[in-house]
Amino acid sequence: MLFNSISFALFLPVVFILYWFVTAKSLKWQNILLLVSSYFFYACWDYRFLFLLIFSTVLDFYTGIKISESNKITSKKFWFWTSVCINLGFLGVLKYYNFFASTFADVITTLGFKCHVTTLNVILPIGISFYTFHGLSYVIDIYKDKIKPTKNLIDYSVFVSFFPLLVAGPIERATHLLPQIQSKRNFDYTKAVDGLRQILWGLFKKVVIADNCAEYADLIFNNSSNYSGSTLVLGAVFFAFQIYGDFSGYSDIALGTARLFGIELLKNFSFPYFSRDIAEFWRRWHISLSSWFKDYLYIPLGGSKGGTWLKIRNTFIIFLVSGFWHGANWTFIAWGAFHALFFLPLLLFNKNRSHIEIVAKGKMLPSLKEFSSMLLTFLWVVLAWIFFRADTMPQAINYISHIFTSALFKMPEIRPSLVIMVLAVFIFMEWIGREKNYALENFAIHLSKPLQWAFHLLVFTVIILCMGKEQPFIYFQF
Amino acid sequence: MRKFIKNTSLFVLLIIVIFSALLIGTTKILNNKSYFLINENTDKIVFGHSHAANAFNDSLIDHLKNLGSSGESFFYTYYKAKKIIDANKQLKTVFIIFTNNQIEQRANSWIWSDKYLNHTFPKYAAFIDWEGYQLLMKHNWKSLFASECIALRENLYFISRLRKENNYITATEWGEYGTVNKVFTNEMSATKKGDLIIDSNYISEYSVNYLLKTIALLKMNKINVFLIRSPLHKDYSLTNNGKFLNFLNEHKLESLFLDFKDYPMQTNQFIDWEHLNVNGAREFSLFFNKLLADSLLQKYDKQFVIKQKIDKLILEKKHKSL
Repeated sequence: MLFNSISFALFLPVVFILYWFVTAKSLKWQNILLLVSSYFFYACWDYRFLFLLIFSTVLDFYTGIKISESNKITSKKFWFWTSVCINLGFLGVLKYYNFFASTFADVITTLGFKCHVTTLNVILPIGISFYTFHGLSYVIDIYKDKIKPTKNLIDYSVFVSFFPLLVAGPIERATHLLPQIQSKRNFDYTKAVDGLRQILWGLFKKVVIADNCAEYADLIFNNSSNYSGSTLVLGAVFFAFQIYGDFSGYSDIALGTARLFGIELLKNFSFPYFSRDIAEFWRRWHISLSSWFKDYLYIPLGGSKGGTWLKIRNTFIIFLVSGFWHGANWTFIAWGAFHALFFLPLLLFNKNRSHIEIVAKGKMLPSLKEFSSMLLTFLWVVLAWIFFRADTMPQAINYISHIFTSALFKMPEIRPSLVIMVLAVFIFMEWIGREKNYALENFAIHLSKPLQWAFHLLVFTVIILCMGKEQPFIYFQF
Repeated sequence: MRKFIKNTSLFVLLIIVIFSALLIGTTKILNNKSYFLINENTDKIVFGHSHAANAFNDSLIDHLKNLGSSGESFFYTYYKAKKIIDANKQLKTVFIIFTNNQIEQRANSWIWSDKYLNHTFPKYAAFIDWEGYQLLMKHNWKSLFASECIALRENLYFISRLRKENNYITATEWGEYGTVNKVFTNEMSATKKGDLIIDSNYISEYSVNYLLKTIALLKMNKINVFLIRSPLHKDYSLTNNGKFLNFLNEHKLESLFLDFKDYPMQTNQFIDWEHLNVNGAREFSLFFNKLLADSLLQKYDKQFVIKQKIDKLILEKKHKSL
């Protein structure tokens, strides 16, 4: 069930009405309803993998209690590592086994030996990378005595499986989400309206921006050898907006949906393409994943404390792991490495926290310096996206090498003027709303009520007119 | 909470009203303002899927227009035929491509699968009747909504260009002869044989129903209708199965059937087993034109004449190769 599908448009109001009208008086029943709805939502994709989700939930729930109840450090460690190994074991086998097996076979063959490996023919369970990280953060936090485990399996299951975030995040923390699940929620009109507005903006990003850019990005990437350098640049730019519209659109719908149920989820995007350097980009792109890796990997490794080599090592580790988290392919690792290369100089010269606030805060336009930094960062990010989008490393390298030919300065062969115009409007709206949580948050707020309605109706009409085939969200595959 | 429900319901209602108004309005405009005219000298038309689109080079066949379109099922052909015959009273003959795959199970997906609802349906959305909509809703209501949105967008685009172009056939690519230069090789033919899956036990009642409706419609308008099978590769295994021929018998359609499947084409005159490339289409179109000029359609046993001509051609080609 996709967020941009008719099924979801029917599912959401039904759950909403049951939640606020039937189960509103009992927190327990509200949570049971959320859990049943979440499992139904997941089962609509493939009910067989529901058992894996339930197993992972029960495992982390009980190991969490066991860790907390253990008096001896050895016992704590045992339960902690049991949870970590089983969680990562499932993820490793289902997501990474084929990659490691085929890489191993390639290495052995290169060394002159014969090697046949058996690969698995299984579908990757949707959302596994997300719910595994939910569970891991919970167990790690208990192990480190940051939180106490919950004794209520329903509450914990809702924390792991809450349908807005189940399949593509944001990756929540128990410290943030669990207390909300355990306490009574009251309906708040303003928040609910804001939630709907965020859903509307998320749909716009997905249906109008991502799906339209996808058409041209696919066309150019799939026939890259036939196009000039300038068209290939355009293809990569289209992909940059496709993935941003797709993933941040999904996150907006997730956040808006959760708000309808009185729950606040972690912010996942904060206008990343207005970043002035890569460090700022990573504070604004897929924030819940970056902060997860920072807290559970980078800081335990020593973070940016220690010597230069330690800093370099930790930076590379976090970027490579982040790339690898996205998929079992060298292209994702290269994507991570590419970002690390641009991030390292900032870290080494202590410039990685130069830009904390949003660019040109309180101003209408950026300065020339700010504009050039944004443009440079954007171009670097676009270049890195080529690795992310390509199916193989040779394809990525070919694509980039084709860009840097004399035809780079020719007029692109593909110039979808309507899509470019829509993109320009989109960038303008994002720029105007960049100091808010999402661009549409306060966009028409100063207008009279009828004009506000007219504006939102217009946005919805544009979404309907631009709606095409339901495209799966890119991050579902991760 | 009440205020929220009230406002949200009102918003949804307004959206439904706007969407319905746009849909009804564009449908009306398209039905009233667009034209479906073909050349007034044209009195013969070919309908059908890619077999038709690739086989009949209408520039080589006198007074004939090819309106074949890739993946077109009989369902969409019916609505196309309705509009075309209404607007072109000079039409005397319609050929409808008729091969096995159009009445097999896969023909259903050409009507309502996501892919075809997204690509084919929008071109016909404004002309489909309630019965047609019921069929689509019954089998894929989820995608139908998204496809209606595409249809609305395309209708609006067509309407915005009405002053420049009001011929719906050409503006929306309703069908034409499609030139393909690709060449099928013996090697490809040998390696891809496994791709052929025979599904002779299932007949798509929906496709059949719309084929019969189209035939009835044409007959009612006093237009001669023929079912025609274009040349197929000799190794193509989905041709002569019992169900296909039984179907023609059961529906008393044998007398309308013109079968060219055994036309002696070389492998390099195909794109694959089923579709002719530009060379194949050229040779076949000239042959077909000659047959029409020799009054094939006025003959009593047309299929016998076709067989005779094909046999003669096979012999001639054999002699040439010797």
